[in-house]
Amino acid sequence: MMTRGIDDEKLMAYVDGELGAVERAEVETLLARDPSLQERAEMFRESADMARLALADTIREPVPDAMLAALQATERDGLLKRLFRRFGGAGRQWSLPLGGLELATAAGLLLVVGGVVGSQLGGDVVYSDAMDPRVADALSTAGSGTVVVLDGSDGAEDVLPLLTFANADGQYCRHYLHHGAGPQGSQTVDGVACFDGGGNWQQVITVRLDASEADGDGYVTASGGESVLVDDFIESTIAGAPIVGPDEAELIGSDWATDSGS
Amino acid sequence: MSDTRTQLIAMLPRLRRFCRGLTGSAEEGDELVQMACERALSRLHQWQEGTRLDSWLYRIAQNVWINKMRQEKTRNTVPDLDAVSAVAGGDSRQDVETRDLHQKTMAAMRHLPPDQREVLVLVCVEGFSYREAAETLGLKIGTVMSRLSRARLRLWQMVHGDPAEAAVVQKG
Repeated sequence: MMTRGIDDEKLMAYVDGELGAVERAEVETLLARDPSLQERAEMFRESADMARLALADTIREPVPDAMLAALQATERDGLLKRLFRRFGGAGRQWSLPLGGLELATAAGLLLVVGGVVGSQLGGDVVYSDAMDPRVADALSTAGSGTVVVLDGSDGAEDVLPLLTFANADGQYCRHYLHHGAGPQGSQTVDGVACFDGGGNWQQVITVRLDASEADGDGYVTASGGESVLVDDFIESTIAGAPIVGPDEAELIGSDWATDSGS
Repeated sequence: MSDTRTQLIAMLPRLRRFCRGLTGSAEEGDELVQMACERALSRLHQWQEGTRLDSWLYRIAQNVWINKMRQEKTRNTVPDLDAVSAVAGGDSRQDVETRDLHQKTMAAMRHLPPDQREVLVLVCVEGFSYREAAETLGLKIGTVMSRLSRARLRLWQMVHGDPAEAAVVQKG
């Protein structure tokens, strides 16, 4: 490896600009009086250029749509798993000590995750379902992240409000999950309901998820059907930031401020 | 979260280049990008804020690649260098020559041992310093340098054919 007091690695480091001033001067002195060393340095320079240029065009190629789509699907999958692990999961640990900033963060996450449920899982989309009064009651009274076990369900059915926001019409809306719905209690419904002028919650979109396929993590697997982006729906209807923390508590306390829209 | 995702997407072109350099092929490179992204997204919590996301991604890609190669040891799709040389014949127009040189270089890179290839791509293609490459790959700087110098000499020899002058000096 060694030739005339300089090894390949040092010569290469010189070419790559990795040497300090003293060593650089040493190498330059040797280079100045040794053409074969110059050739060898040139070989290191060229080889780096060859590798760089061979791949240079790659960076200008547009990233394939399929790659982006797969990336997004992957991310949704991951978020969904985390959501169910956090709010549901095998242990059904529902308590969620959220406050202030933390809640805001969670709400931001959930805004994304909400749609994840719909898009990832497909499921049946049902518009304007009749609202179960127990679900409506839970939406009226429970803060986001709080699980409300429904009356008469023996603990098998519950509602988890995920997010509160105002829509462009000035209505307050809530994104929620309703576990244990359906004839066999096997479904989770992912929905958005808005509080109308008449003092009632109106379901504006719901997606039924087949929870019977949930694995050990409580992760609900896809049950086919058309994909629905609940997050797209929320993103297209939300006006301003999600309503979190004290603001949400105030809304709940005022029975959803039926006299004011925003 | 979504910030990191945005960063990750912004980094895709570079990650593709890195993976193409590692695998030596566009399809395998993209496949590796896919696998690396899947793993990265499932481990976002392991990425430390304030550290380089690209270096973390490359490390993941490199791990995935090494594992994949381990599993596919029997496979041998490395192109024949003679065949690649034949490609380099033909038209003498400069853009054709340039393209041929690139193809030859890519093929030659595939002939490098994986541990040399990853160092070569990180430093010469991605522009990492020796130290950054060492940190990314979990190697000592000396190891990075010895692999890198061997990779470059071999690459040059494979592409330009005449190893004579390289062989004279490379006694150790």
